[in-house]
Amino acid sequence: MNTIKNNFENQIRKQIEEREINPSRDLWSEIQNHTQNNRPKSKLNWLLVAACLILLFSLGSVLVFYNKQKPSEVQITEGKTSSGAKKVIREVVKESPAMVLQDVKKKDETKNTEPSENLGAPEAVVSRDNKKLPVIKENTSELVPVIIETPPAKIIAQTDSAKVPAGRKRYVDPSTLLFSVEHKDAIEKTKGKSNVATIDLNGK
Amino acid sequence: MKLLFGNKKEDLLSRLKKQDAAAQKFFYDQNVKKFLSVSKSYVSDLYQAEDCLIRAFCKIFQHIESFRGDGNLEGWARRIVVNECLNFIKSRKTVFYLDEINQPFMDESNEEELVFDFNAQELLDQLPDAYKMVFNLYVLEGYSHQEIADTLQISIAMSKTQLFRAKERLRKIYFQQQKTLKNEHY
Repeated sequence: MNTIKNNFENQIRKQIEEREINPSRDLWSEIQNHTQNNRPKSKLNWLLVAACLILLFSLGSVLVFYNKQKPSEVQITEGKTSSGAKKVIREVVKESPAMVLQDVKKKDETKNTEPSENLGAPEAVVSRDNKKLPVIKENTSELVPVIIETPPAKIIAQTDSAKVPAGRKRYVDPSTLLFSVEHKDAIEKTKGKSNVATIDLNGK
Repeated sequence: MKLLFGNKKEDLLSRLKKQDAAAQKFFYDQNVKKFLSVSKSYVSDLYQAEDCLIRAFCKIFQHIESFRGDGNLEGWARRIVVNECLNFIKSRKTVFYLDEINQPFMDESNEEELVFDFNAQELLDQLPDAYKMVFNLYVLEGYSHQEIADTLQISIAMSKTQLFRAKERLRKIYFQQQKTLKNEHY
């Protein structure tokens, strides 16, 4: 009796042990999903790190390339005034650390040293000071002197103005001095600190 | 795949401990059908049995470090599958351990016919969960009553009673099946 009962149990065990059941769905993909989700994520987001590195390298290479491209380049900028008569040439020396563009007074001085040759030629002002000083950049538009145009009929220039170079003089012409004393009332100072005498010819 | 691992189970174990995906796939392919059979013997519904198996494999791969290599890796994994099924049955609903006062089922006239003509899974599917758990743990897994009591958190006496009732129920179900078949035949 007991052996028969044991056979019954053994038969059940045997059937279950020998049985193999094929899964009805893809269990492996679900197991993979579970295991990947449960894996501890590294604190560093490697994609983000890689993106940052690429950005840094590209920025660095752009900066290096840009610096190599203009070592001691002379850049000439032509700025035309409204009349088109005046030109400003600016020399930019990259390698020299300090560069100061002087104001208009200095331009006049350089002009006086070479009066006839520089007439009508562009003005170039370059000043090199101490190398350790930082580069001072000035807006070129500020350097262009203001030219006030007055109607040619109303302006009376000095009598010997044709002989005098176009630039300002450091000495005073005796005839001009005499004229200025005689016609003090007619002389006016403009914004550019130049003296302009206005005489009404029709009145005389 | 066999060339990859050969027959060296130690190599497979070491690779599983390194969370090697190829080793995990190899171990899965080796055992999925067998473990699904085990899972199905506890959980009647195939879909739910597969869910239990998925969770069991995940636990196996996660806690492979805790396997010291003393025994059989498949045996250790099978215990995890069984525990996962038991947890599923417990979580699904409250398990009632029946203590039926029935006369033992005796139909000795048919004892000789018992042996080979039945489908074990069909019989197991008709058992109540409490009976099925104890019967499977005792007969299929080879647990002692002490182990069953510890696992299911019941007394040893309850374990013995449940096993006895389960066997009786199985025999009853079997003879009922046989009778209906005979009636249909004639």
